[in-house]
Amino acid sequence: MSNIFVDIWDINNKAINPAAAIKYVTTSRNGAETIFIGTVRDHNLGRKVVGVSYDVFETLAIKTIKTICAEAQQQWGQDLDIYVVHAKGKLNIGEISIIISIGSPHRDEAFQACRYIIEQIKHKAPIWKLEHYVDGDSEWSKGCELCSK
Amino acid sequence: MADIQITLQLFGAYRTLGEQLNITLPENSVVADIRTAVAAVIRKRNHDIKHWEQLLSVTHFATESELLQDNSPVPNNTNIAIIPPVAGG
Repeated sequence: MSNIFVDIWDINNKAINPAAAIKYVTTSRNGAETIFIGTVRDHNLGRKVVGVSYDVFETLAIKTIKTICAEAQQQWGQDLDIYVVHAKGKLNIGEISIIISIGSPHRDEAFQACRYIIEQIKHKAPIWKLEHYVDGDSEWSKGCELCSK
Repeated sequence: MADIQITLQLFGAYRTLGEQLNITLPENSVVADIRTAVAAVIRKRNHDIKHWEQLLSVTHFATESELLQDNSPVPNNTNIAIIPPVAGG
């Protein structure tokens, strides 16, 4: 897993940087680099959102995301370069909550692996989102139940 | 028979109950018993149990390295995390 980088960054200490994500996966053997950037939008389910706070069980989240990345390599090639950073803490509208970048010899694998990783993270990583609304109220997102039963 | 002591680290919606809960369970308890113990704490604090029972029914538990199965024995003297439905990304 030497070509996999996964981390959780406290947004108060370190901003997520798309240029760094692209740089990590750009090598002479890759002909394709894809990037997914998740940002905070200003609305959800009809409510005006002014920001979100991410709560993360860091140790397990990093382990889970690394496992997901390894699954992507098994499916689309061990030579994939993968970079994933998720934010924790309070984010404002437009700020980056997650960045996923894939480098691959070919575009199809890069697109598919990127899509796989974001969908799996949404369903499996122990991360929670508290939405803050314009009226001062806040509410935890309903989210996806993990499967252990 | 020695009781099992766990520190339950709280995340997501459970943060409203604090940072963590110290829970004592009888020997031979299984992970599903943690859910019952959390419900007892919520009742004791006079929270709206209907709301919390719904959340508890879709809540799981994990160590720092793995998700725990409901029928697994509770590891003693271990930090365990409560895992409500997740919403990363």
